Amino acid sequence: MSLILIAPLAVLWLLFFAWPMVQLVIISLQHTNFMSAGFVGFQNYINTFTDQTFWLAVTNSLSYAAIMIPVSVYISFTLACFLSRMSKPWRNTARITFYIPALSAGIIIAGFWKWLFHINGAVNWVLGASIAWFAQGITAIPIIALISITGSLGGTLIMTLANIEAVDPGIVSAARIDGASWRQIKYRILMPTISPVLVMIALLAWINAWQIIETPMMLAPQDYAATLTYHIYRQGFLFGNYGMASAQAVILLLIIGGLAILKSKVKQ
Amino acid sequence: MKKVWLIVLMILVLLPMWFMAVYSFEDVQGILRMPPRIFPATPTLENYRYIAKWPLSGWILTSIATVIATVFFSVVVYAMAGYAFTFKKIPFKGIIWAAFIAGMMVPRMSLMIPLYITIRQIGLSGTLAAVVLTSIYQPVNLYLTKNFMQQIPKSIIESASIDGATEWTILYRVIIPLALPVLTLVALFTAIFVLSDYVWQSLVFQFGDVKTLVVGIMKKLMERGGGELNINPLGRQMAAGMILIVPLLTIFLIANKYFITGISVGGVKE
Repeated sequence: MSLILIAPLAVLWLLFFAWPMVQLVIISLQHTNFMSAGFVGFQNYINTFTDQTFWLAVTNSLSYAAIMIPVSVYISFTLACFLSRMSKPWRNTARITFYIPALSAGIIIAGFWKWLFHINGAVNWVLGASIAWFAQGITAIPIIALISITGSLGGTLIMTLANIEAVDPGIVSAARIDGASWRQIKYRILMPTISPVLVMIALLAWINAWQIIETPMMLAPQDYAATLTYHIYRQGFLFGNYGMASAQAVILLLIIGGLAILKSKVKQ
Repeated sequence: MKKVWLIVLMILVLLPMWFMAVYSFEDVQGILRMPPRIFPATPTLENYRYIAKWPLSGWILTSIATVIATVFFSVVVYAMAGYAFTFKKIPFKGIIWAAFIAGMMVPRMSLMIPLYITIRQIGLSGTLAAVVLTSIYQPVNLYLTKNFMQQIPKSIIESASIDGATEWTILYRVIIPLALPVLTLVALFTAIFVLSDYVWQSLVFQFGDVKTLVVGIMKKLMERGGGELNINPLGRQMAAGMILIVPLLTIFLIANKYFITGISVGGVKE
């Protein structure tokens, strides 16, 4: 009986997750173009490691992660702590408001960001400058990282706030009576107590950083701002090089999974 | 004082959406004007009239059908699986659970190439089924559903089964009503995902006339020129975006109570 209950999910998992995973590895060992395929062993991996644009994409993804992980964790935590002391209507309004950016299809709203940072756009107007914000990685990457954070902030904020609300109020008021300041309560009590959810937010940001694709595609479709996922997409679907793209996707999975396994080891 | 900062931050977060609405009613002059206006100076329906010439109704119907199908199947699939993983004995439960959840660590985009090939192999390329079937497996939904269902007392299910209720009755009469917040969450996540998952859908609907709204809009927006005077691509893009986002926003504002309960209870880590 219980097997029937999980059967639909199992079938979908098998067809659209497990089987593609196996295929990914097989394709990564082949030389492919639009017409034919042939087994080449680890040649795609060897070619990948000598490919400059691959390393650039890896560095870019790490830069995205370096911005997104601390900023998401910090904003979610600070905002949730602040909201936990507000009245219920405030909390609800904030939860709804911060979730709204997640609703706007990234690819469409990109038009707005493009205009905002356009050479004749509002940001340059305010600064009195004429900077081409998306013409180099050093400015494009932080902007795209911040856009991605606005998209995920709503969810992480709701989760953090829920975890703070679940903290035993007795502990907090006991600390109060002992004369602890709010700052001490925040960092000495709340932060350690809800650290599992903060670690999870960091992990989500880590995964996100590697797979940003729509914003660079619309705003800076160049190597200097490409994440590894976008690089793979271009290899595969623009240049028709499925073999190389799959080899890089396997490497991507190893990188992302590596940290996840590390995290579960540390926890034990 | 701190409240002021909160309000400022909330306004900042809403600005893109606000300007999307404003610019959908602006003409070219209005968009180029600095500083930008908070309300359109001379509101015009020009952008909406322009995009009305696109085969929008077909795309909208396709999107509605895709969303309804995906949401329906997702809710059923996760209600069933969540029930089984929370309350039932399953052989090799731990291993199966780990295998299902492993997908959380696998960006969907990295599987695009084999997924694309799989879809072609089973002859689903260019069909709605390709989008529906590939969009249901979202491990985070399973995770949240199970987390939420754990707070349903086991005694309720035991007493229902002592009263002679079948598994399906329990699922339909007990589990689904009690897990409604998290199932609303699953439904909303799925709807948002399916409506905005451009990259994958643009591969599925690469050829042929069938298109979802987001794919159709982007294809039109990326078509070059046409020698028209007075073009206003941003205005059109924002008008098209409104068509996509207004329904989503409406559903979200109606369902937000359930949604927030779902994410709050499902997301509390013990």
